[in-house]
Amino acid sequence: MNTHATVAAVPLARRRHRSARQLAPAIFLAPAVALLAMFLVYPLLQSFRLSLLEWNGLGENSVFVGLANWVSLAKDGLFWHALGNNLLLGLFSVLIQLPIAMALALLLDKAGRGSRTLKILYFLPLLFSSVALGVIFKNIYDPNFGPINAALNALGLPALAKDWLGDRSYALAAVTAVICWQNVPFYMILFLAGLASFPPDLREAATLDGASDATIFWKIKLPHLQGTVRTAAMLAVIGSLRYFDLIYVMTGGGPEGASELMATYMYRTVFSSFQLGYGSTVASAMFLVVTLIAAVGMRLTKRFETEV
Amino acid sequence: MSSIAKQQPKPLTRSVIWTLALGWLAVTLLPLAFVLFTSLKSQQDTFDSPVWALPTHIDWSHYASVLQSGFFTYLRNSLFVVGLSVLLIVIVSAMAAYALARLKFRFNKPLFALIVAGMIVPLHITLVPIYLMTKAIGLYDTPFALIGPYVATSLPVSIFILAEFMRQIPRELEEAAELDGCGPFTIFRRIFLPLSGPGVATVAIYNAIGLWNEFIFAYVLTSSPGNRTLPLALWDFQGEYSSNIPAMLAVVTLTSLPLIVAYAFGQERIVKGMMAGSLKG
Amino acid sequence: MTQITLQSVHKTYGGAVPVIRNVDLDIGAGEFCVFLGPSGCGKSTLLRMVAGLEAISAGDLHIGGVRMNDVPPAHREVAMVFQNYALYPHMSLFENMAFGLRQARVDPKEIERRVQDAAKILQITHLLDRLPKALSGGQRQRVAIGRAIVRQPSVFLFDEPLSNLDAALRVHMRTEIARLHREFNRASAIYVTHDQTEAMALADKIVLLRAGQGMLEHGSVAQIGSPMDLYHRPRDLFVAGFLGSPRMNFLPATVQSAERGEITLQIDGNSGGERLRLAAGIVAPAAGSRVTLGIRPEHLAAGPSDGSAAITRRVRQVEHFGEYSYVYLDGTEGEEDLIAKVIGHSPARPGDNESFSIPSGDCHVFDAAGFALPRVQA
Repeated sequence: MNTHATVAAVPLARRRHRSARQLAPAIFLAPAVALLAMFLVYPLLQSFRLSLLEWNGLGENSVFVGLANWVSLAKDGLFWHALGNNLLLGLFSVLIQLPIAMALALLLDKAGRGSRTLKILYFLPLLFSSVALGVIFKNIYDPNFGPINAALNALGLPALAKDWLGDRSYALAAVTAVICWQNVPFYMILFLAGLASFPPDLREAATLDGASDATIFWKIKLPHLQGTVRTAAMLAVIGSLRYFDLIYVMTGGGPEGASELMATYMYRTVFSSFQLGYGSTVASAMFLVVTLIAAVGMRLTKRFETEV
Repeated sequence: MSSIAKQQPKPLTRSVIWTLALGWLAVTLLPLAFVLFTSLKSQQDTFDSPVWALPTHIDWSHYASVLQSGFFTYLRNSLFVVGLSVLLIVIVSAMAAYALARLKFRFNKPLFALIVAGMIVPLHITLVPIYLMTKAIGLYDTPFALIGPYVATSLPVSIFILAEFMRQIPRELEEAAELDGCGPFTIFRRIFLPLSGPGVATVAIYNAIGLWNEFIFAYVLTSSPGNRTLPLALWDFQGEYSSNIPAMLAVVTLTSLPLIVAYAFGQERIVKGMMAGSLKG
Repeated sequence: MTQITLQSVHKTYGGAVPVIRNVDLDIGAGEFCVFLGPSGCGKSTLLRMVAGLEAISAGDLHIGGVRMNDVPPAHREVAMVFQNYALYPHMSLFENMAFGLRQARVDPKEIERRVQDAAKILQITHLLDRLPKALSGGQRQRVAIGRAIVRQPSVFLFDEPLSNLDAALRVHMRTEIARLHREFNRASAIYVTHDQTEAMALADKIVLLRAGQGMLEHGSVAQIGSPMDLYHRPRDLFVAGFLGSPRMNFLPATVQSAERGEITLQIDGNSGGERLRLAAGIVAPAAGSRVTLGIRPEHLAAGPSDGSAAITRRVRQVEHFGEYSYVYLDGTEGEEDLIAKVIGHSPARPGDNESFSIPSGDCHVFDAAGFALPRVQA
């Protein structure tokens, strides 16, 4: 590299270099930003705009009704019932899935031999699409041909054999059970990862201090896993607010709205009742609920977390 | 006393543990076993013999019938849509992740926070507007209709994952490259991209699996069977096989098979890939 | 003729936190200059400013007579050897060394020639096809140096290149670097280290930098000079205490009287302390002023004194290293132990009282502000 040539080339290269540097962020971000704007931001705003209309989706005959849809929504028992179902789902997701997942994780953590096979098999439910699971369990829950009722009858307990998906009192619970069945392995793996990062010296120190296994779990391992548990709870709650596929296939939101969720309600409003305006109101409300809960969730759990 | 290192739990505890473990294994596997066995029964068999009984003879006719009814079209569509989407996701998110993780510019932090917040948005709120948009553009009922929404909705989590990966790349490598005369584009192409291999693989697997099983957008944005993806096969066949339980379960098995086969080949990668969005916490 | 000139160079982070203040420095062609100092003194930052990896907040940088403040790193005719080697993990050694040349569109045959030459000098020709992860730390360091060599820069920049190596390897690589610099003796070198042994061994010129309060009050540069300059004629307490291991002994004292050619010091100490008369030819400070007397461990001479400058202290501890011994003596109240370095095996034992004389020619006197009192030119 010849000094003279380099020095002469410097001004031009300097300019090229500088403009490349300045434009680089824009160029690298352009495709992502464009896509996000088009398919995330714009639809979000559009949804709010549509919520201000009354429209059946065909043609140009939309009517601007201002906040009328929102007022209706506030008084709409079906919506609040659906929201309640979502929250119930969230609650039970956390209360059922997490402890089972934690128990399985602890189990696998200790088991050693054979735990790898177990892990592989436990994970299977997550490979199925929600639609597939919907069909599978629709058949399993079938009151006449399904294996559950068949087994109950064979065991001499015909009284317990209900119409799981067709009975208002059981529909939501039945659906919740399937959701748990599918997602427990997910949280199990999450907790396993958390447990794996547990430093062995801590356990040895505790054992030297004479702590029993139970004490070790409650006083040492669980606090260490705080962050993971928090993540799991957040994911479970936020996930439960967005369920659609499984419910839609298994019950369609019925019977009579017993298992209606916000998402299925929105879908019906738009594609069955052709109320695009009101449907968008439901969707927008859904967004607000999720954001609110996520924000509150993050605040709350941060406050209770101790420094590990 | 015995060494502390691997303390064996008491025998009673052990049997409790194993009972619970096997219990859950049964809960996990029984439904799947039911699906497999029933799909291999003839329809007559399901009426005659008890539900839990094994098939009296193995009947492949349901599988044959499904495979001949356009199953492969669905499969082909899924491969195309998911393949193209994942390719675009990787490219776009790698570029964005590089800019956010390594380039200095004014709105870097807020932009990153905004993009990550996008992970929380429930997709259903974008469903109707995207439906209207797709119809207006004229892409309705084509596989292409799905590419845009699929790529866009996968970006927040993919960018998040890749940005984390890229942050791990030592700054010194960038500086050495700068001294070697590289501008940001060259640094991206020759250094960050090659070194982000594991991250890219994770993002690819995570998105591939999620999009493979995606239902509602495919349901709403496509209508004719010739253009639909695999999860829709289940839905569409419901009409044809409404009371034919074994046939429906054959469809279930066939539509789930590709992913299970992939899992058989690489469980570690797939598990890690599927957990990617959440493990970082 | 390449020269590096820094004029009034300042660096602040975020416009508020000063890191480097007032650096004025000239490095001649072929000179090996070492940036030395405690952590936080900004020596790496200064190096990176020369490289172009950090911006210069104020002041000027010239390389080869051209102002380089705004010139991108690749065009400054510099090459850098990083502390963690910064080798591209996914490229072979050959590619690592060739990368920069390829970016500059140098002719492939020329690239081949330069890389092979460098590899031969560094004795890594047999490793050229391997990936960095297959190599040991010392080999990686050589490749990093090779990458710098092939660029044929006017200035070599080294950022603590040896700190990740084990002690034995460090000594060996030190001599390698010195040898290499002699081979490329038209290029200057700037070498950053916190290890004063490395600095003393390698430098033609040492730039000793201050950190913290001292930097804010007096500027970043404590002293610039050859290693022997800094060692034998330190400008202040900081420089005197930084170079030399074990550290120079410091004895707080008060000036009793100062006549031309002779000063009398009253060393602090509750039991009277010693009174020393030194014929050091030091420029006389006023009587009653506070000073610090500095004397290096190797200059404390065991045994009865020849003049009137001697101290007698109780021995706290003795360490024997075969070739020499360290004798630790009670220091002044509240101060550290004094250390005397005695050749061979010292007969001193803990609890004994030992006398050491202080040769006038080897002592340093620092004023109340910490600056060395100048010697009268003979």
